[in-house]
Amino acid sequence: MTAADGERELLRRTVEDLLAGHCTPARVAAAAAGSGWDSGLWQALEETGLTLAGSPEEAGGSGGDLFAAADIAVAAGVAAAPVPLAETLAAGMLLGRAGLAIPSGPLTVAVAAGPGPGSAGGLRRVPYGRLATTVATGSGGSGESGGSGESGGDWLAVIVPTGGGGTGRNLAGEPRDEVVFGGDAEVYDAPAGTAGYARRLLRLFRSLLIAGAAQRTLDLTVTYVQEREQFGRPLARFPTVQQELARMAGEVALISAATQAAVAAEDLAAKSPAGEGVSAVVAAKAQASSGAGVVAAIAHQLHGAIGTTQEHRLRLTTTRLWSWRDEDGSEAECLAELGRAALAAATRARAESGAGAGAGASGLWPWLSGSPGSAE
Amino acid sequence: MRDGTLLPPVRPLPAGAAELRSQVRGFLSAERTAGRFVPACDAWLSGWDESFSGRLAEHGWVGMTIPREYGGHGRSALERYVVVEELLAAGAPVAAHWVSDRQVGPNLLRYGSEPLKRRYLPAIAQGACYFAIGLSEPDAGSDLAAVRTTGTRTNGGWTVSGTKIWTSGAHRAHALIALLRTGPPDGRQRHVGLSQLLIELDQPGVTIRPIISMTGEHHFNEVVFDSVFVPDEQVVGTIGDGWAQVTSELAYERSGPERLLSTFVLLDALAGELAARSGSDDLGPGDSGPGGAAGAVGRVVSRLWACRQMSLAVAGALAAGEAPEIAAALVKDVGTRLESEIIEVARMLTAVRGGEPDPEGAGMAGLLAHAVLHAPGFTLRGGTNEILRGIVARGLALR
Repeated sequence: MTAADGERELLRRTVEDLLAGHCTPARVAAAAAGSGWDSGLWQALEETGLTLAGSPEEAGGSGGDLFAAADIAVAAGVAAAPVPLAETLAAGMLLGRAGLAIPSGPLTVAVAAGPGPGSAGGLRRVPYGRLATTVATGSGGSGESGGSGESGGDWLAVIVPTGGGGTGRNLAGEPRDEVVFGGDAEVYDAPAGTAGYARRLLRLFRSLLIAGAAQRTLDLTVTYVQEREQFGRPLARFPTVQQELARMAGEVALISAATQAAVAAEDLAAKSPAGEGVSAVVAAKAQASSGAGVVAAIAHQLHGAIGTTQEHRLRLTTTRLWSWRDEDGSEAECLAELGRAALAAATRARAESGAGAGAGASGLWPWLSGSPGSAE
Repeated sequence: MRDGTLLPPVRPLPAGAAELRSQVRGFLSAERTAGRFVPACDAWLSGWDESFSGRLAEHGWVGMTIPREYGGHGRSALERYVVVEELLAAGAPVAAHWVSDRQVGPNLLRYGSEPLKRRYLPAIAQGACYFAIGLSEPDAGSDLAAVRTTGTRTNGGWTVSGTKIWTSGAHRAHALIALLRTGPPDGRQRHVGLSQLLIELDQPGVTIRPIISMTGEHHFNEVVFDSVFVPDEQVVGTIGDGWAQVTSELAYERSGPERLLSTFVLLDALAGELAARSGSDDLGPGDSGPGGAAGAVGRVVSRLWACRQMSLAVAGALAAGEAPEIAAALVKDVGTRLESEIIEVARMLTAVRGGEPDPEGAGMAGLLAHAVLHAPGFTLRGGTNEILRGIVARGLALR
């Protein structure tokens, strides 16, 4: 183990221990039933500087790289932490890239569908929008300054929560709120690619949360089938149960591999020019989303009826999986986007090699085996 | 249980991998253009082409990890991974040297005596020496420790009798690497008393009978040994250590790119076909959404991409000297099921355009026919997926 590996492992353990201490099933459930979050947990996280790992210290972040932030996000998924931890990590990185100062307190990120903050109206279903400062971004027209409106550049807005928007929640009871642009929202011209970067960060961090939750779901299920006895022996002894457990482990491993690879690709993309290969982040979100449903379904089948109750801790994780797979790049959106990109790669290769090119040369493989920013 | 214990970390490929990849692509493109091979699904089982193996070897891409002193090229396992996945993705005919390159070379390097290495490794690296694997028997499939082929001690060697089955390519291979019983089991410890022998196939007492697949192809054989003399020099490793030697190879066998790319040629052809029909990036409103062709292609592409990352993670761990048995079993389970899912997507998207599998057909129709008939083998060979899932479950529960 290298020194860097050792540091990473130490950070991982610190986060996991802190989260495990706070995120008892009772407290996670209470957050959803009450204010929507656990302010005590947030305070503990903020005091350690964990909420802004991966963001530059010049901007007010804690420093460290994307790998550190990613490990923290996975841990948040494992713990079903009822705080905008992954959201804040993403927001800090987004502001840091734009050279803006990172405000204190919980943060969240929203990408506007419309052309600019002025015309966008409200932002829908923003995670923790009621209590976190929203870092909103989009392309084409920054309403207040007007400058980049004509040039179609990216903009970035920092919106302090005012309590003005409507509130909502997802299947796990996590806040998903409307955020409106008030008069006091600060709007900035942002560097090119800011909105695209924000979209990638959202997808990546949501995938990492799914990876953590999927791992947790597997752990809970392994424990359950070892403890629960039927016909005089633990469920884990039944071959049919073993088969399903292994299928579940396969999905969890796929999600883990996909998200790890996406983090590495995103880290590379920040350092070297993007290649023409598959977008690792889109592929990872597509895989995390499609695997999330399988993992949750097998977990519930193996838990039996008790797993479907409000009292049981399983639902704290599976309801998150069911929501997260369709948030920040839904399963449908990412699958279609990935499929279109694959077919576009085939089309390009066809155009380059002439329409008569035979089988085995569609261009799919070079696209699939490459990744943005890597020499591979 | 920690994330890291289910799957080793995903590591980057070594420097120079991109350059190597591009060299192999150039070679394959030239071969294809010259009509020297036609891309096929499952060509690592069915594409036996000794002249192709020879040309590949001239480029140094057979027996890559064999050290130079044995006629090899001293390349790393991950460099070999890059070459192999390029060959598989292209549907190149690699069956002839497949077992030599993947299995026997590394096995001899690890366990072989000096004379055995001198005898076989240079020929393997030349792409000129082919092996069959003698593991399964009529009464020993998933239950490998039940092998009944015996080696009886005789002057200067072993007398081998018994039957091996499902031995791919035995009718064309030079030799077979067999797991057989050379001593009694130790009570219920059936793994005791097993050994590995290299048996030359062109000799008296060896009978090779074809087992014709439902495709009509001849890959598999039944190999019967009737008092065949095998000299002591042909013993691989240590007498009695056969089980440990065989199982140490399994992580390589289960997690390689051949466990996810057997039907890649079909997916490639499908993408080419869809691209040709649309003529542009625009697939039309029905096909570009999640419910259309794009969504269906996206589903298998995301899975294939993720499976590849898993396989690479295991390859990286193996190269680092680890033995990730559970992760390797997981790769085979998810990867081989994906190989069949690809067929389903190709079949459906071909059918909606009025196409169907046709063994005599060209293009998609022919590829589909070949793939559909090969598919049942994907989840059987190399240990059935049910057995592998059992290994995974035990690994999870014993922690």
